[in-house]
Amino acid sequence: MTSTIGPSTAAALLLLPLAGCATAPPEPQGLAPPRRPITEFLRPGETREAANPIAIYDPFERTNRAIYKFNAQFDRYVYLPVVNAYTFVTPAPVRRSVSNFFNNLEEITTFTNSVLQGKVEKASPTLFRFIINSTVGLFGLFDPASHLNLPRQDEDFGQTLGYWGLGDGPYLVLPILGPSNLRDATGLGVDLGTDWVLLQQLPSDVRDDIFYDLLFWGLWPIDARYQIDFRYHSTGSPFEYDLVRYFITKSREVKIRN
Amino acid sequence: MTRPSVALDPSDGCHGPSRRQLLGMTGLLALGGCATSAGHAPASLAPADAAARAAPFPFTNPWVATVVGTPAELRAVLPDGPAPRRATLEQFPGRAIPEGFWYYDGGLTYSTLLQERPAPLVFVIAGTGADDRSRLMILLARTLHAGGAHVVLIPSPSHANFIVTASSTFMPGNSEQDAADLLKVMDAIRHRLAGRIQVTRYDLTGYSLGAWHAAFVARADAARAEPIGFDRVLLINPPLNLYHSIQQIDAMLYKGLPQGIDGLDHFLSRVTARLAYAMGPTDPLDFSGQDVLLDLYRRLQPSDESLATTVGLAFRLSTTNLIFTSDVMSRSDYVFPRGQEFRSTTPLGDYLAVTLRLSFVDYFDDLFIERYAGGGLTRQDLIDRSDLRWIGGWLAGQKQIGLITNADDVILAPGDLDELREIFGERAWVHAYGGHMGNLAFWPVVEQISGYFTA
Repeated sequence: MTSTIGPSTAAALLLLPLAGCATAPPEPQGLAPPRRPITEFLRPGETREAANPIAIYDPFERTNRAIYKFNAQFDRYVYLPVVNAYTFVTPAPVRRSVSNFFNNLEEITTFTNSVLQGKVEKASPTLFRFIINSTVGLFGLFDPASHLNLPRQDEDFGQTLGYWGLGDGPYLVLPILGPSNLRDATGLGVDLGTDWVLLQQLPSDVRDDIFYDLLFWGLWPIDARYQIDFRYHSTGSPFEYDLVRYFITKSREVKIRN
Repeated sequence: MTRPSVALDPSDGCHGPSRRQLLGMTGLLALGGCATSAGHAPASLAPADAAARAAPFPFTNPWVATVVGTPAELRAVLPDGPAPRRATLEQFPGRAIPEGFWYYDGGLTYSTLLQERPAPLVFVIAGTGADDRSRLMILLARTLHAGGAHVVLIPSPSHANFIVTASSTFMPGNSEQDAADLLKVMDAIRHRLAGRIQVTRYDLTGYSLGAWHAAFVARADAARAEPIGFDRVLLINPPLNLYHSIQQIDAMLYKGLPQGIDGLDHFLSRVTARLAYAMGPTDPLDFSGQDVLLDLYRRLQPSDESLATTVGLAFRLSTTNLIFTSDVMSRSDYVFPRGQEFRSTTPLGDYLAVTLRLSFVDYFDDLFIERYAGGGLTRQDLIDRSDLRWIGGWLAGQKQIGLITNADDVILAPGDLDELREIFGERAWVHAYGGHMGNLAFWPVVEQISGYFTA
């Protein structure tokens, strides 16, 4: 599973206000402990948080969990049916080219953030990729650069902030966009803002075209979901929220280190 | 890649283009026992490359085999076909399901891969903690479907979906109770498919815990007034004694974790650090590749202890899911307070911390015995009944039940293999290498499984 975070789901940001509805009733207090309580397993001086080997700082857990459920339901009733319809009506090579096209646009984000981290070894292949795929690859519809031993890199502003020492902050589950944290959500906002500013540089007759709207408000979010294999509750674990939280956080850690 | 069960799920049944070739089944055809052919014999599943066809299974280290599985070039080449279709089954209409399990509101999810003409129907039971979408299940479905059979994939009774929606007692692991629940599911699916497809006979298979279940299902079915009557049953890498295998698996977990789960965060952060290092600065791992695990293995060069712990952890995660789900559903007040409601918003960190530290043996001693002992049954009786030897005499006399396993299967305790050979005699086909399920995608094994049902 890759992170569901990506500037490619710009349209979904519209739904952010929904987060406000997601408050959960408080759990009853003062319950008798079960037969095997956590206290049985704590070593001297150990906190309950420390006893959970995959704990992540998550002060808004109940709200996050409510949004996780909302996202799973949105996936089930809206997002996946749309993606399945898209898969049904398009042949595989077309979908491949659609993904290539949007991935090519994301090279701009990767390039900018590679530069911001002083990573020449990532910035230069990314620049060459963008030039080759935008020209020989027909506006990014094809990916000849990958055949020239120029593999795709992945950098974003969240990683840049992490690279310069900023911590994760609290774990956040963003509506539609999925698991994140305060640092990466901020980074995502900056990346999307940058994309928006860049897109404003296109001639106005392009931006006023209905095709432009369909591309960025329709096809982009569909392709973004199409590219992610993750399916909610396919782990078969009642602890899926905890597992996803841990693996997303660790995978971001690995990305920041690289 | 956050599939936590990745180590249990090593062999990706991949695929490649369909390369239909001349029938090259050699002596494997004879394995079927009786020679009445109902399905059509498929073309050879061997790779096109001659060197790959001549190669033995590459990993003689059972830990590597279990975790890495079969390298892509040695996997069976199955023809392209439709994907299994999922459906849900409400076994207990009106059962109160806690809101925390809201996503199981449709009931038990199973899959079918059907033929358009009359054909045998094979039920496939998943392994520990696996459901109908596990890669091994998909591999078996494609193999059997390519051999001309209708295929029905059923989640393991140890999977949370089964416990919540299809278990009568919420407490899996009891051979008789699980078999009864599975038969009810099979009957319901049979009933639902009647009229839609034509079934010439019924077969049964399963891998790992699913193979163990298949044996007890076959036994329980034969004792019924109106049995399904399985014509061919194949057990793939079953445990001999569930209780003993659990002890083997617990021991694996502690090989690389001398302090137990208390050392897990250290173990995990070491893995993360090595992963970050192995991925390198400008060489991102391609997780869409066919050989991700092999690639990772080559880069990380993990020790046997780490591999054993990885296998043990994958199983531990399955039992963690099982124990928690079982406890919540049965309101046993074991790790989850009885008075608390299980909701999707309930923080679970404390319960995860506890359940991760519990073994299946704890579940057995604390909950299982409470539920199933009594009426003259002791703890030892229950352990004995979790053993294929409990029905060994019957199994030995059933010519239609065969076994495929590996001599180095890591879930078998010392002596277990000989016991399996004793029960199944000439119907036990034992490969030298493959660990636990590591060679399931290896083309000669796939051909053997296919041949068992098509010969």
